Amino acid sequence: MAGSGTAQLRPAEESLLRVEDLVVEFPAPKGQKVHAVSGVSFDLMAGETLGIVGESGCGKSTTGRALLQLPRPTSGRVVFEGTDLTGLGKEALRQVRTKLQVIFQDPISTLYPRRTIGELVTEPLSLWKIGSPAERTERARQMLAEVNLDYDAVSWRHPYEFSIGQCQRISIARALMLNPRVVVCDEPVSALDVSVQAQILNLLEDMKARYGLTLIFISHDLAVVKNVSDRIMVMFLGKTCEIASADQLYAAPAHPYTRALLMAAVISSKALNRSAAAALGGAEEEGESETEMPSPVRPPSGCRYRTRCPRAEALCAEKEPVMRQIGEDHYVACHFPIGVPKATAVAGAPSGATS
Amino acid sequence: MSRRRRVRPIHEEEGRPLLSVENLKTYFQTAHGVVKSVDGVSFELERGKTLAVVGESGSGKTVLARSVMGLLPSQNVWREGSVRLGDVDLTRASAAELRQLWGAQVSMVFQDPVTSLNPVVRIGRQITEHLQYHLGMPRGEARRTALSLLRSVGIPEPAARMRWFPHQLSGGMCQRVVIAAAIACGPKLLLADEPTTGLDVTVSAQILDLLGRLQEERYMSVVLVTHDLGVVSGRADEVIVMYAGQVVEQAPTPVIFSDMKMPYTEALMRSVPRLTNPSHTRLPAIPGTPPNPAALPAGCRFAARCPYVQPRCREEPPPLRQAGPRHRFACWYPVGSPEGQQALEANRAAGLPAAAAVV
Amino acid sequence: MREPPEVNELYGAGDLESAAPFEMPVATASLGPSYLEAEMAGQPPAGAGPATQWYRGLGWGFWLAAAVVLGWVLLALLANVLPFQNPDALQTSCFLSSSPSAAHLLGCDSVGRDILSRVVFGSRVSLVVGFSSIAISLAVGGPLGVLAGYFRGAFDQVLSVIANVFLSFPSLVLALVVVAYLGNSELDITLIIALVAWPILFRVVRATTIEYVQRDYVLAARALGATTSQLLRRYLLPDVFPSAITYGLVGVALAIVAEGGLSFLGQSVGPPVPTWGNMIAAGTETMPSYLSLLLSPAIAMFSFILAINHVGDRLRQRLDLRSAL
Repeated sequence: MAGSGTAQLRPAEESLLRVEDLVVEFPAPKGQKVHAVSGVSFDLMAGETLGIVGESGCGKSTTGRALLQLPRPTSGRVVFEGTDLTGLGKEALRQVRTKLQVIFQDPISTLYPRRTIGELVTEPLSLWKIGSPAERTERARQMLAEVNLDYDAVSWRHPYEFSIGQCQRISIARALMLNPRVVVCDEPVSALDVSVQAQILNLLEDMKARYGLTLIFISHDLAVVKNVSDRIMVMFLGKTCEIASADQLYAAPAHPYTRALLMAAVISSKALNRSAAAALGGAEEEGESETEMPSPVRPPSGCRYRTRCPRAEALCAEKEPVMRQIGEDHYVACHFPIGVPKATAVAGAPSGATS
Repeated sequence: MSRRRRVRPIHEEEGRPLLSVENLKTYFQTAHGVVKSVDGVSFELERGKTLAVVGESGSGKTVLARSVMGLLPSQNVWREGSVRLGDVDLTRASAAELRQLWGAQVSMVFQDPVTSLNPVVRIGRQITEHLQYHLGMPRGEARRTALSLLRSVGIPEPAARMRWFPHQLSGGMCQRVVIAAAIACGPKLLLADEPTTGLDVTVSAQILDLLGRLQEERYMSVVLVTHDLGVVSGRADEVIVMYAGQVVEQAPTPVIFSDMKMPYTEALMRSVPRLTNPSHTRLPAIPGTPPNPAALPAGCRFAARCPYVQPRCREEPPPLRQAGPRHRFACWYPVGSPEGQQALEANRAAGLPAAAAVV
Repeated sequence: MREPPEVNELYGAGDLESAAPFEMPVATASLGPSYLEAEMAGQPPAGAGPATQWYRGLGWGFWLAAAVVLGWVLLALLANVLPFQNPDALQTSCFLSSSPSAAHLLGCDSVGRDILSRVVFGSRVSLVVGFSSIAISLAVGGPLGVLAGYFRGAFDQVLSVIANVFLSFPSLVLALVVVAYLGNSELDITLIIALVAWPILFRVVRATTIEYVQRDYVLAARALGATTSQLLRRYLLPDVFPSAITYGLVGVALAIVAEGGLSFLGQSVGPPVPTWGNMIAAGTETMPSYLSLLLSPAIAMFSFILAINHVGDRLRQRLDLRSAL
């Protein structure tokens, strides 16, 4: 579809986190609305990593923040361990916050410059009045060691004395202080150099294994997302295009937008991705003619991707495609998905689609 | 309307490259000591070729580009070496000469297109002012030229867009406008400093293709500064890899991918996540961080992070050595050589973490 | 920049903190913070300490101004203890003499009172009114500004309207009217100036708060589960308080000028209590013969206002620089 629908959701009782029909709108001038996220649904099993990819402005970061209720979404449900967070009162939500943590893109600006590293890392405990100062320091020492930093060397320094990579390590240590179950990683490596990026990605994988974390990994870099995710959701202009297991999505992208993203990534790094280029090869004539993002204030009718889609037909402007299954753990919201014969494609599109 | 041309002419000498940079050094004085951002860099670039400068942030690649151009702050900076563009030495050019070179013979495309355009000036004017200043074009002709420039960089409905302001355009479109302004006066050399960082992957591929096409059409020399090795392949004739202010390897693009000699180049290439990796692949990261440029180590600057490191590396800085035609590198124990292999084996046996990461 | 200096010259630049700020508009991107990086992730750079001390590199002008401010505050506080003459004592030996003598350094006024001691005692009214009126304004406008900036919405709108209403009165007319009703004791004057000043401080604090609320670290703290009161106490107050204080210092200068103006017009604390304002007013009557009568209080007031303005200004610049880090 970029479309809506909930076919991709797995049984509710098995999922740790379930987001249903999430909508986030911001006020725009002249009484209009910015449709940042429009009816996104996904779920997470315990211990799983869900990657969310898309270009800037696709609503991936807004989705991540809305599920943490920062700020609360306009509508939709966010069910975490059986509780709907959108209905929770202030204090109850605050209690849940300890279990849902977030790592931001720019670690330097998320660490309060007036505090020392020691204060910043123990802060989650002092905010919650957990333990004595000595116990907090001990825990901070242990968490900083986990991210390869020496407490005695760093605790008295300020964030701006460190590189971005080191600040990101500190942010990770801080986010894990409260033993969260789910960590939303919002473009955690986008500001980093490749060599440091690899360190941080490895560190996140280590932490995930050691603490049994469930991750949501938001990034615009397909290769990065592929390396860390079990399942990937592709977003375009506030809608979901495709959800599939990481290997499936890259091996056989069904949504034209997923294909376009992959092709751009492959073309821009041919030498590093020779075999991927071979797998996608032969489809070059289907490249996007335009790469401008349509306005989120007045999104296109029907499928929001149709203005850029090389496969768009009249139907795409009329009816919004709905999520449907096209393979084992492979869901797509498109009237004419790649690799699915056309007749089946049209017949398969449910007629009761809403927009 | 003045018809005066304000362009410093450049005469290219037969059989000599358009741009030759020799032993360029650029040091900054900061509160933390002297930062050697560019420390003895030499390279040559022929007309119509593309040279990619690859390095991490802090490697000095951006300072190198600005130092070549002469766009440095007026205080607390010290530059030595020569930058010859044709028969002109840019390091000795006066401010007035530089003004007649910038935009006309040498142009620069910056990383952030939105801030490199003047927010209160219409798109069209940002291009015509260069044409009017440097080439002394009358207004009407400048407008027509700007229109065709905008069309050639792929801006839809250029006539209408001429009247737009930068904030009305997306980042990708702004970068196209910046490129149009940069090539307006037909420069011989274009310096592109991270032209696609911050742009989405689909847009960035198109911008790079555009740069490649324009270069061919206009027979420009391009210096492409980037942190992304992936961007380099298929788009550059030659690659320079920089580390801590120095060139550590230089080679034709295919060679740098297939037969790199410097362990840093190899490590950099390994640490890039691949689309073809199965999910949850452990990346061979480079341990540690680059050295503090205000307190550089005595020997090889990569020694502390290198999987091949030997005692000699920590004491003696390796000189740039020739490995083949147009292939230079700075390493005592190069990748793929018997002594390099031996060094790696020894380090692995000794349990050096950097070496353990190399599988 | 083409003159290559000796490397020693580059290194031995002495106290770099107090040198002119290093301007590097075009090169910052690639220098980045990575030049602070150490070799290994676990070892941060050495010797970056001085940057954390706020008082480094403010320049001698700041310290001179601070000394002047402190000097006046001490004189006002200790005027009774120090060997000054009684400012109200009439001394026939010295009558309208502006020529300095050992007994009367600045001479005496038209009724034979020592000018030096009157200038010193006169500082009390000015300083008390200046500092306490701004303290009251800050106590009222500060918390309201923080709350309005944090919560926004209807609460903010109502307060902002009230502040704007206060600001739209011509303040001098307002002050004169209120003096006519309340009277002109020290307390009255303090309250009147506070009444005029609080909306300005409210607006400054509110604007500062709004800016800081949007910072990423506030969002990060909310994600950690910080309560509203924790956010306000731990994040916003430490951010807003220093800038409120520096604006307050500039406000003190304005308040003293305002008191001086009222006093000059005879609407502030009246004779025989000396104030800088009423002394200047009295001095104008004997112009131009006995300049000391006019110049002594005028220079006193001028020196204090210049100094406190400079202190406030430098501190504000320093804070701006640090928050930009």
